[in-house]
Amino acid sequence: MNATPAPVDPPGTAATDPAADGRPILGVSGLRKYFRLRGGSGGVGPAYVQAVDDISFTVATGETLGVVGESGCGKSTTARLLMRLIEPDDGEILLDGRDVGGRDGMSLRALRRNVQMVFQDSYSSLNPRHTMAEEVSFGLTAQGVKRAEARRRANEVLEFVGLEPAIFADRYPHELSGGQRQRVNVARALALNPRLLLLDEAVSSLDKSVEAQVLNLLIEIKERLGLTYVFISHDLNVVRFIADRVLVMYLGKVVEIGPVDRVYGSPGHPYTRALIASRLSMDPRRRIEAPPVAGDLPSPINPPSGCRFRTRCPIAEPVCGSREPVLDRFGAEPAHLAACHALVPGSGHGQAPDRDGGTVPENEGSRP
Amino acid sequence: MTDAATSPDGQGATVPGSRSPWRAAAAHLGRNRAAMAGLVTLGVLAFLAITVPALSPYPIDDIFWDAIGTGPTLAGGHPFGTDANGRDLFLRTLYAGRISLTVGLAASLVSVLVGVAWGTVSGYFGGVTDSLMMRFVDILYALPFMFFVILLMVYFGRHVVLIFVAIGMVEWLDMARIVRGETLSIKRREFVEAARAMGAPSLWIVARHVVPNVVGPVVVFATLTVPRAILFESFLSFLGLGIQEPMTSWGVLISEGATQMETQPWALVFPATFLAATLFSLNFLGDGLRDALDPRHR
Repeated sequence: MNATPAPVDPPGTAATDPAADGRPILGVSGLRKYFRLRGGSGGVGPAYVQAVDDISFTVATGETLGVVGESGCGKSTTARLLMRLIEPDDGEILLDGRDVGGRDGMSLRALRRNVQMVFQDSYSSLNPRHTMAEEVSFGLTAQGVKRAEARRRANEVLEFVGLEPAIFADRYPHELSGGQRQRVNVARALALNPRLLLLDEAVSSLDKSVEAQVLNLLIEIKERLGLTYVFISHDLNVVRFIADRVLVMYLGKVVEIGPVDRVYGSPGHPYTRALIASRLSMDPRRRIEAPPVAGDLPSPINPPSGCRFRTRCPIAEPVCGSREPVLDRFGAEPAHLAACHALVPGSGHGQAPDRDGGTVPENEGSRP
Repeated sequence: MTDAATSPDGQGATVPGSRSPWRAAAAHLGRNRAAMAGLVTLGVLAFLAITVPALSPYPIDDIFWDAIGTGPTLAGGHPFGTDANGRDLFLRTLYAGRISLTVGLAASLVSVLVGVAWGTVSGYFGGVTDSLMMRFVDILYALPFMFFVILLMVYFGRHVVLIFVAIGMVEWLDMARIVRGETLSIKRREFVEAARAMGAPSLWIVARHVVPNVVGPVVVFATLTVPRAILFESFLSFLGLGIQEPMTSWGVLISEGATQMETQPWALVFPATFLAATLFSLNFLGDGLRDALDPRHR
C-alpha cells in the first residue's frame, strides 16, 4: 500500500476557527423551487409544484435549527436545495456570508466540504456493494485524498461514532442493524470535516430505543466538534429535545420560526397550534378527542390564494384569501416570527390585536 | 466475518477496511461447485480446441478416402467418425470450437464493455444526452442487419474478424437498454445522492456506485449473449457470409449434421454435445459470478 502520509485533520478540529457564537453560518433568502409538471394541470399553460416558495431564514453558528411540517411541505426539498443537489429557481444561499455558486462566491466544492447531509433511509443511503470502510472513505477519495490515508481516516471516524473498526470496517450494509447503519451515515458525513450538518429525518426510520441512542450520539458529536445542525423531522418531540430554534413549514412556506420554548409554549400561527395539539400525550386521561386539523394538505400545484393554510384554518376570514400574510414578529420575543393576519394589528382580521398594542410594529411588511 | 475481532486491540497485520472485494468474490466463487465445474469444463474445451488442431499430424481438411462417412471408431483413428466427405470429425469439432468460443466470448465482451458504458452514462446523465444516445441505439436497431453485414463484406472483403465486428455491433444494443433501465432506478437511490453531496464527480459516481450495482443483470445477460452469438455466426455462415470451408464452427457442423441425422447421427451428436456443454458451463459460471459479486449472497 501507499506509505506516504498525507495530512488529514483528525476529528475534533472541524470548527476551531473562531467564529463567534450567534454569527450566522447559513443565510437563506427568497429561496424558491417550482417543479414543472409534464402534461400540465388540464388548464392552460404548464403546471408547477410549488415545493419551496420564497422562504428565508438564518442558522447561527453552533445552534440546532429544527424544521418541522407535514409530509410534502417542502422540508426535504429545502435540504436538497441547501446541499445544491437540486438547483434553486430563485433566491440566495449564503454560507459564512458568501454567496454559494455565485460569480465571486463560494464554489460548490467548498460548499460540500463545509456542509454535509445525513439521509433518512439508512439502508438505501448506503451502497449495498460497498464495505463500511469503502463507504466512509468514498468522499475523501473523491476529494483526492490517497486511498490508504482515506481508509485510516474512515476507521477513525467509525470509531468516533461508536463502531469498532476491527468489527465493522469490512462489513456490508445488510450485515448491520438500522442504528448501526445510521451511525455509518453520520460517520460518512463527518469524514469530510463539515461544519454544518443537514439531518433529513435522520432518526425517523429507527425504532424508539435506537432513535434515542442516535440522538444522544448526535448531541455528543455536536458538542465535541462544535457543529451546527439543521434537523429536519416530522416528530415534534424529537425536535423539541434536540433543537434550539424551530422552523415550521406549510406547503412550501415558512409559517412560524422562533426559539423552541416560545414556539412550543405560545405558538402564534394556528397551524403550529394544531401541530402541537396533535402530539400524543403520555397521559391517557389527556387523550385527543377531536382532530386538531381537519382535511388533507391541499395540492401544492394550485395552492390556496392568500394564506395557504386558510382552507383548514379554524379562524380563517375573508382577508386570509385575498392577501398573503407576511412572516413577522408578533410578541415580546424579537426572534419569534409568524405569518398570520390574526396577529397583525389592522390587518382586517377579526381577531387581530388593537393598533395601539405598543411593541407591535406599525407596518406589517417591516421586519424587526 | 467473525474472525476480524480475534486480533487483540486492533493493529495487527491487516488494517480493518482493507479487505479486497475481488478476493472475497474469488473465494466465494471457489466454493461454488457448479460454477467451478463450469469453469474447468470451459478451460478444458478451450485447451483442447487450441492444442489438438495444432498438434494434429494432418490438416483439418484432409480427406480419408478409405473412411468416408464412417461412424466413431477408436481403432480406425476417428473417435468422432468422419463426415460425408471423409474428413475427421474429432479434429473438425475441436477446430470449430476455436471459432465458436472466440465469437461467443468476443461478442459478450463487446456487449459488456460497450453496453455497460453506454447504458450507465446514458441513464445517469439523462436529459438530452440520454435522448441522443438512446436514439442512436434505436437507429442501429432499425438498420437491417443483413444489409449491414453484406456492406461490410463488400467493402472489406471476407474475413473472420468482420464477423466479430458485425456480431459485436448488434449485441451491445440490448445490453445498453437493459443497463440504462437499471441505472435509472439506481440513480434515484439515496447513496447516489449522498455521493453527489460529497462532491464526487459524475463519472466517478457512475464507476463506483452505478456499475457495481448493475453487475447482476449484466452477468446474466452476458451469459445469454454467448449462445446467441454462436448461433448467429452459424446463420451467417449458412448464408455464405461467415466462416467458409474448409474452416468450420460448431454452428456450421451442427447444421450440416442435422441434414444427415438419420444416416450419420454422429456428425450431429458430437458438435451438439460440445455446444451444449459450453452453454451449460457458461450458465453455471454466470450464476456463480452473479452471486459471488453480490455481497448479500455471500
